[in-house]
This record gives sequence, structure tokens and C-alpha cells, in this order.
Amino acid sequence: MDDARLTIELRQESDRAILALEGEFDLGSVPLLERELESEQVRGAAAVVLDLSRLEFMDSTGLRTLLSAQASAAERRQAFAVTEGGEQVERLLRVTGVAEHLRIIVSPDEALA
Amino acid sequence: MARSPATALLVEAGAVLATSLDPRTTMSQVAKLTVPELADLCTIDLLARDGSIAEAAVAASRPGVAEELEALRASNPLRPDGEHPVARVIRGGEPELRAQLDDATLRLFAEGDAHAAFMVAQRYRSATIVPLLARGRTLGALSTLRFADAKPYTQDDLALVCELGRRAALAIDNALIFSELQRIEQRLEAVLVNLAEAVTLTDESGGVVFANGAAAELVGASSVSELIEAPPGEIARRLLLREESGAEVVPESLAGARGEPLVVRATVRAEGEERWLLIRSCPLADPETGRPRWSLTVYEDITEVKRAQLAQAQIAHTLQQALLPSELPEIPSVEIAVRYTAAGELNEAGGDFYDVIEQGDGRWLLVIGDVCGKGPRAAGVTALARHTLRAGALAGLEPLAMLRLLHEALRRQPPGADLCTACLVTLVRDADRTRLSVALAGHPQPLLIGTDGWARPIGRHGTLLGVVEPLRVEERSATLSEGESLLLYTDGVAEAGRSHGTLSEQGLIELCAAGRELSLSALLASVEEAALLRATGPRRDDIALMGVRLLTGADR
Repeated sequence: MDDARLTIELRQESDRAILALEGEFDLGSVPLLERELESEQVRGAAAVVLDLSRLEFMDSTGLRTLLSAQASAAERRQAFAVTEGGEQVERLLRVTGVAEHLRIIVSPDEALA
Repeated sequence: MARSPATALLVEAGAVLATSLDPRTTMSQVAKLTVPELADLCTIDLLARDGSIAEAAVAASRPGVAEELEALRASNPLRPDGEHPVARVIRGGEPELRAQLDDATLRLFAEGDAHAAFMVAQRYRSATIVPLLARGRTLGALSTLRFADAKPYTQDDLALVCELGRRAALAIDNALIFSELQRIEQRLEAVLVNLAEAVTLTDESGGVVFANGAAAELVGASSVSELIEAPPGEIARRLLLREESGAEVVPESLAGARGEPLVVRATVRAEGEERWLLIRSCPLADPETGRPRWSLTVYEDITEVKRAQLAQAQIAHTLQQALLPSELPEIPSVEIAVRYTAAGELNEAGGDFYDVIEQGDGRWLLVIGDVCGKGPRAAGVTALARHTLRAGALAGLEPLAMLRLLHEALRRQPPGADLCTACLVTLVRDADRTRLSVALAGHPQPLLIGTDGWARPIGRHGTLLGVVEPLRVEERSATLSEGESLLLYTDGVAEAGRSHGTLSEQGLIELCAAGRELSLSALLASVEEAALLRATGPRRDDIALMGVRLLTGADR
């Protein structure tokens, strides 16, 4: 099975860890993000941002992982935000009511007060 | 005409070389041929795979000489880059004639003092050294030596030794190849004999040419030889093979052509014991004619796997029955249709669920939902979701209270964040119209389809259940008029096989418009077909569809 349909780029900007997701985020690719979220860089950051702007697809397992990431960040007292995703991602977040519970920002560099 | 001694030697060599396929024997016989007529001492040295030179055969006219030289070669091997003529000939591939040897030269060639002393003591006087060349490869060198006052070698002698070397090299090479083949064969046989899988080799008539212990055991024979000595067709006499369909398979016929592995039910006729076997068979050609002559068959016992599979299918089937209602209640004047497709055969107990529950006083609850994930865990959560909602409905809870109840139940599950979406539609039958009340928890909006086929989503999006706090859900009302339909669906419908384009909500609305003339079940079938058509990816979601249509006066 082709699991390379998701690529994740992790970059550090000052004290913020930005994870840019590209492709399809589903049952098969969830472990990729889980691994990144446990990295030193992410754990040590003051803020975690998931950049979903190039994410084409997310299923319910992806959604679950996103919510776990938010919960872990809260436990570590890290700020957590996502950028707006593609059409399907945006619809999933809206239909499931998760959009209301996420800090959604326009640009990954946007200030998180 | 009398044969010359040279011709006699070569004829004799031909005879000797034809008799043995053992490399050691071959080389020893070649060396002995030259002694004493052609040489006082003859040695064959071989180039080993690691580049070293090792003595392979020595023959001498005087007793004790061969043994002494063998001991010297073992303790002081010839260096491949050394000055000894054998090393030089092996390196260069050209024969050397050393017609006259003196003690100084011998000391130059020697590998150590003992070697030098030996050669001087034996009074080495003349030598030929020829390469052993076969199939473009230097195998080693053949040397002949004359001692003391013997006649020095001439160019004619060298030519003769060259010819002898050429023939010997070919014979040695053949013997080496043969012994390598034998080693491979022994290794293969050891592998086959010890293989857990049963292996048989049968000939055209069905006679067993080879069988390993596992094969004998499989067919209930007391030994391998019992199988091999039996008349042709023994395996078929002992083993009854049937395909999954029940059709009988003749073991000997399996081998005809190299085909797909075959799963069969095998019964040992004598014992009646039944096992599941995976059989792979392929024809083996006769190397000489190139025509198929034998069949190699490997029988793998998959009884345990098959039993586990059957048990798993049984569990999945039982679970599935617990997850989905076996039959739906009837609602007066309302037609109900459902369609459900699980994602993949191993996910029979999938994450989608639906239900229709009669609440009394003309009230009915339509339920559709989707649990995140696949497999046993999702199946467990699906059962929890369906039965929590059903219990809530029977206890007379309002839809929003039912959703809260399920939300709390999911939050009390072991960690792992179990998510679930649900859509609850309360349908209340009045005298002339039917009221709908829709509560959504993270679930796509159902579509209300007019008699003209025009569909619109109803209900307000609410939070999915199990993780997010606070839960925000609310109910919205609508009216279902005669001839109108309501379509409830799960995520899988809109998202199946997204890599190939998705059947979005807009796509569904278009399908409803195109299907306005269709019966309710035909409409559902067309939606399912469209969703499955896009669901070509391996990770597609379950698909659940529920439709209700208020019948017109004419239909009742």
C-alpha cells in the first residue's frame, strides 16, 4: 500500500514548531504525524501550528489525531493552531463541529496571542 | 604401425579421464600416468577460490618422495606472487620448459630452506610446467620433473605435457562441476527432506519419484519408500482432494500447467481426517528433450489458518448482526430502504451503523452514524453507540439527551479517543403530514428530496461525539410531504475513493435530481453505485444509506 501520500515538513520559527502537511491524512498516514508530534522539536516548542493549507484530504482518523495533538499541546501548555485546509478538510472540520474548537489562522506565522 | 609412447600416453589418459567424475581421483590418476616413463615426479597444483595455490595430486617414481613434497606444500605453500614456476605459469597461463635446472635456480624458486633442501637432495634436473586451462579459466598447473641423470625435457616433451594438461584440465573441470552439482543436489535434497511442507515429484503416469517425510505423513504412508514403491496413482488413492466448491481434484492432474495456488479440502481416505491444503504445482521439463516430464507439487497445510479465518468470519458476522438491525419496523404510509456496504471483506464489522426505532404515539426515530476507525475496536465502539442510542430512545429520552448520553459513554471509554458521528431524525406521523426533527452530531446533513427531485440539506451541524467539549448540538424541524423523501448517509458515501474524485454533497444532489423518477430503493442503489464507482482505493470507508419516502394516496 502506498503510504507516501502524506508528506510532513517540520520547521522551527523562533519558538514555534510548524508542521506543514501535504497530501492525504488518513488511517494509513496518521502514524507519520504522530511520530513528528513526539519529536524533541515539537515537544519543546512554545507553540505548535499544523499548516493544512496543502492538505487535500483528511478522514476521521486524521481528525482524531488532530484533536489528540490539540489535547497534548494543552497538557504541555503550548499554544496550538491550524491553518485553513483544502475544500474537503474545511468541510470535514465544519460538519464535525471541530472547526469551532480549533484556533484557525490564515498564515502559519500569524501571531498567537 | 606401432604407437609412439606419446600417443600411447594420451590414449591411456583418455581412458583414465573418462572413468572418474571425482576430481581428486581424476587428478591423482593423471599424475600417476606420467610416472615413471615421462617423469620422476609429477604434481598438480590448483588455484583456490581465495587466490592461494594448493597441491592437489603428487605422484613419484621413488617411494616417500610424494609424501615428503605433500608435507612441504602444506607447511610452505607456494605464494601466488612468488618466483616458483608453478605460480608464474598460473599467473601467466603460458607453459614453461626448464630443460636444465641447477641448484642455484632451485634455491631461487624455493619456498623456504626445507623446500630448497628437498629439491637439491632429490636432484631436480629438468622440468615442464603447463597451465591447466578449461573454459577460459586457469584451474592450476601440471608439472613434470626429472631427477639426477635423466634426459632433459625437450620441446616435444613440453608439447606432449601441454596436450596432457589440456585434456586433464577439461576432465578436472567436468569433475569439479559435477561435484559442485552433487553438493547443490545434496543441499537441495536436505532442504526438501526437512521442509515442513509436503513435497512430491511425480512422473507422467502419476508414479511418485520423490517425496519428503512431510508428504508421506500427509497422505498417511508409513514411509517415503512406501510411496515411491507403490504403483502409479498412489497419492490419489490415499488422498481425496476437493475444491472449495466441492469439485474433486485429481492430485496428479494438478501439475499440468503452472497455475495459481489451489486451496483444497483434503481427506486422508484411510483415516477420514480432513485438512485444508494450499497446493502449488509446476511441471518440470526433461533437460534432454525440453518436454514436461515430472510435476513438482508442494502441499502446505493451512488448516489452522483456514479455521481461524472461518472463526473470524463467524465473529464478524455475529458482530455485524449486533451492529445492524436484522429487520426494520414498518411505519404506516412510509417506505423505508437501506443499503450498507462494509469497507473490504476483512472489515465486515465496520464502523457505520443505522437503526429505526418505534417510540410510540406515532413517533419513530431514524438513526445513522459513523464510528472512527476500522476493525474490532471500531466494531466495539459501534455496538456501544448503537445500543446506547437504542436504550436512550426506549427510555423516552429526547434526541439531544440521547446524543449527550452517547457522548458521555464514549468519553468513559478507555483512552484512544473514540470518535463517533450521528444523525438522529425523529419522524412524527400526523393526519395529513409528517414532521421531521433533525439532530446532527458531526454528521453530514440528510437530504430532503422533493417530488421534482430537487434536494436540499436539512439540520444544523453539531459537534461530533466523544472528544470535543462542550458538545454543541441542536434540533431543526422540517416537514416531509407526500411523495417526498429523506436520504441519510454516512461519510463513506461522499468520501469513498477520494483519490479519484469524490461524490460530494453537490454530486449527491445531482444524483437525486437525475433519479426523480426512480423508486426509493432504486435511488439508493444508484447512489451506492456512484459512490462505489469512485471507491477504488484500498482504504475506502463503509457506505451506509437510509431513505424514507412518504407514500402518496395512490401508493398506499
